[in-house]
Amino acid sequence: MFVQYTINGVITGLIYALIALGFNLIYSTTRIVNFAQGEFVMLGGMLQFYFMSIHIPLAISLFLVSLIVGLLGYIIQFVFIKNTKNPTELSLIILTIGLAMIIRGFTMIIFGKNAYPVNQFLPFESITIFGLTFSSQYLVVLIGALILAGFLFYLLNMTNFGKVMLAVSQNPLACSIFGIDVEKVKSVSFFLSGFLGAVGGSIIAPISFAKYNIGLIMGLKGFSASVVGGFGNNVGAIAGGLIIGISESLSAGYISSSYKDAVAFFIMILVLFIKPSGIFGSKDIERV
Amino acid sequence: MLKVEDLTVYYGKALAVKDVSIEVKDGEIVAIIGSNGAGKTTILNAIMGVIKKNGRITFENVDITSLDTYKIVNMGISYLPDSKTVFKDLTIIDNLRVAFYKSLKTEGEKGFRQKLDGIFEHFTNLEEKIKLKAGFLSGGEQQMLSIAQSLIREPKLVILDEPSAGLSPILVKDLFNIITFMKNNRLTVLIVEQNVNKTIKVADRVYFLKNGRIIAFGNARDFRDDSIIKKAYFGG
Repeated sequence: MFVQYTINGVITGLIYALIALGFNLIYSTTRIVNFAQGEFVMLGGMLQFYFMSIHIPLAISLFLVSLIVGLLGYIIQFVFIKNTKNPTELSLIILTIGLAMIIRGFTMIIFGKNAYPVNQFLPFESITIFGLTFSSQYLVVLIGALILAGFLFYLLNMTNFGKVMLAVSQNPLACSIFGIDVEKVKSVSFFLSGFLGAVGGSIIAPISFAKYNIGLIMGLKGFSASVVGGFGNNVGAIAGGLIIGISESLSAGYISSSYKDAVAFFIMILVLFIKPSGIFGSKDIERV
Repeated sequence: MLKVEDLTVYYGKALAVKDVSIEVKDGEIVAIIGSNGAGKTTILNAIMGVIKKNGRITFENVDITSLDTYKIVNMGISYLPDSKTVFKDLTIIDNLRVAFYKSLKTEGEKGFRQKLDGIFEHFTNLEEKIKLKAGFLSGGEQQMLSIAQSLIREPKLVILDEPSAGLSPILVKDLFNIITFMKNNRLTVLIVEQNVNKTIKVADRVYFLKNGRIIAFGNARDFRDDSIIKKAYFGG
């Protein structure tokens, strides 16, 4: 059973890791903690359900879902955050919480309060590993999460635009002075974050159902994963996601599923006590 | 090249700069001199679109008064503010790459490498530490990196706000060698400096600022050893 629980935990953990990477992406460009990140995941699942229910082919629906939610992210930055008067970290966090509630409310009005099943992406139902049978969607989540994480690592570490994104987070005025349209860079990071969340929501939907209110808990667990790994650190985001996912699954299996949701927050608090900067977090570089 | 006409800036209700007019012609070095709080940095921030102002600012006969900073920069102005422009988590080469980012699209990696060679001719200490994160550099080295960033795109006009602040005497000497090099290469420079004697030696024209107003201006050589320097800089 241990292997079964662990594999379940890895799959859930990868989704938390994707959400955490979304948090990091926005944080590393704008220094904003975007609490609407979980709603991107929820919207991904809901829209995937909708497009598949009207028989739009999987590849096209995935593309549409990620594009729509990505654009929503872009609009959040370009319309709301950019035009906030005298923005502070606190006011922007409150803004993103408000936007999350609006997105959730509108989704409930449009789709209702039901949980919707989404078909698996692969033509076969299940896969067998070490004599244990899993949903074939696990394979999709595994491959999808690895591709997205790989893409993000490439973007941030290997491309000039990734370096500009990092530069914008550290010194936006200097970037303007170098002729860089800072607001555009921030908007692109919100687009990518929405894109990331939407794909995460789409690929997890066949396992967890699509429902208007899953964004809150998914967002909070993704946030916990980010804090556990070290906020802003992408390796940490993946590690944090996996730690929380596996711990959650093991506690549900060996103790009780009632405590499942509390595990993420327990681990987060524990890490904050022992190493507040997170497992992979480091202090800012300062020459002594 | 650059014309500032009747510039007035308020910070809240406090007057910072009143009816200031400055002209920088092609190929000359113009200095603004004044004591702390005279309004020097305010003028530069107003030119660069960082703060709200009244008046009119044109660059190469184009009105830039209401343009965003990045658009002004993309017209060919490079600005070194009094705060450093380095990115502490990026290496020296990536700091320069980000400063060159807008030109990367047209000039490519090859163009960047060529500009880098030119920059390192004057900033040899940076070349030795090219892969070091900027956060590990000393304050003076970070200031030199900021200057290198402002020069790498070979702008038409360089605006420098107290570039020698915080530099050791050796680095100040290097800095003024670089400014002399700019002068010899007919680069246009608008500079605000606290090192008055050295600045007047390299400048073509100077404006003296006191309490947000211009109290004198003219050819730099006419003001060398002049009592007006003491008045403008030390008060009285």
